[in-house]
Amino acid sequence: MASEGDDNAAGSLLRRRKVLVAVDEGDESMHALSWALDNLIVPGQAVGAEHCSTSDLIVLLHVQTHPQVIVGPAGPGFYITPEIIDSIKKHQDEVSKKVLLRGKMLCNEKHLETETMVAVGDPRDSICEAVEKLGIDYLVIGSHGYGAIKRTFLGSVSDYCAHHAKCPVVIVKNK
Amino acid sequence: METSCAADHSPNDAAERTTVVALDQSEESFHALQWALDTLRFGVSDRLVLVHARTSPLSHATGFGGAGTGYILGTEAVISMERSQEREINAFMDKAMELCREKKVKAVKHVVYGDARDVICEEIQKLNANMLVIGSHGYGAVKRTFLGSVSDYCAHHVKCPLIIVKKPHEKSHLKN
Repeated sequence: MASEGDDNAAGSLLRRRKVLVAVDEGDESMHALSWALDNLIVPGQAVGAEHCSTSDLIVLLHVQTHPQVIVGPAGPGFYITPEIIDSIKKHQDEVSKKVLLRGKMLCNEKHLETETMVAVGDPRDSICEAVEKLGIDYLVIGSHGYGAIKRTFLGSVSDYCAHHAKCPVVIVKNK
Repeated sequence: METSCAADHSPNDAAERTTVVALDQSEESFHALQWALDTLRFGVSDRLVLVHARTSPLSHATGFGGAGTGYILGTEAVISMERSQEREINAFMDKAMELCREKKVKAVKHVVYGDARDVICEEIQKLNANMLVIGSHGYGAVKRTFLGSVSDYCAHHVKCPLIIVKKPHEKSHLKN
């Protein structure tokens, strides 16, 4: 059994971190995840079939926009049927599955224990809520910043999270 | 191999990675440094560059007497102010270096004259830093955490990944 506290250059007790990575369809979030996996996260080693208990735990979160928001407000002559809502939800669930699988595969390369999570709502609030609910040690988020002259600015979600998340926030800019 | 199953963290064994840590005298920036030392794994090929932006005492001096009028400080006064500022800076920067030493992490001090926003961004460019760690002085009403202006600026302008570490509020503690 591995004894905790061994082999750490700093000599401090190895404690696994719970890291939340917000992912979506964009390449930026996968880039952020990759960078974090390469530079910040304590990888595991395949120890038999078990995951190492001292390597970090990654929580991959995909936030779906609420179907109502996609469809927009109902106006005269336009009636939102449950079928429409269902088909939107179905499509979104497929997107979530795809995105989370992509993220999970990156984590598997580092032999990391991964949890996946889907939330519905505004990404800003959902991410910050997840941080609190799950007792996250730090948050990794990409930046969709779009700027003139291709300067890296800050996307609104990463900006919001930088302000409001109750844990340290790692912002990885586009390459 | 069997004693620890967390892999040795040195992704680019040959490449030296530079992490800039922005520091001032505040608790928040020391908290950020300590967090980085405790949470991130720095290997033998990593180094921290502790950056402090120093303002010239003259900029404080012109504030005396209200609206900066009428006061001309003799060079001796300026020199003595600079010296005392230097003593303060050395004191907390050495404290920071000691924290790094305790964790056996290589670190150097860079004290640069100028506005924190510009100094930090320029140092990152000059050093080709891999990452920035910065605390936040954000003060918010109603127990919400906001972002200080320097960390907000850096979040927008630096090109490298950055980590913003806020000091958690105490439950019963009211920030003024």
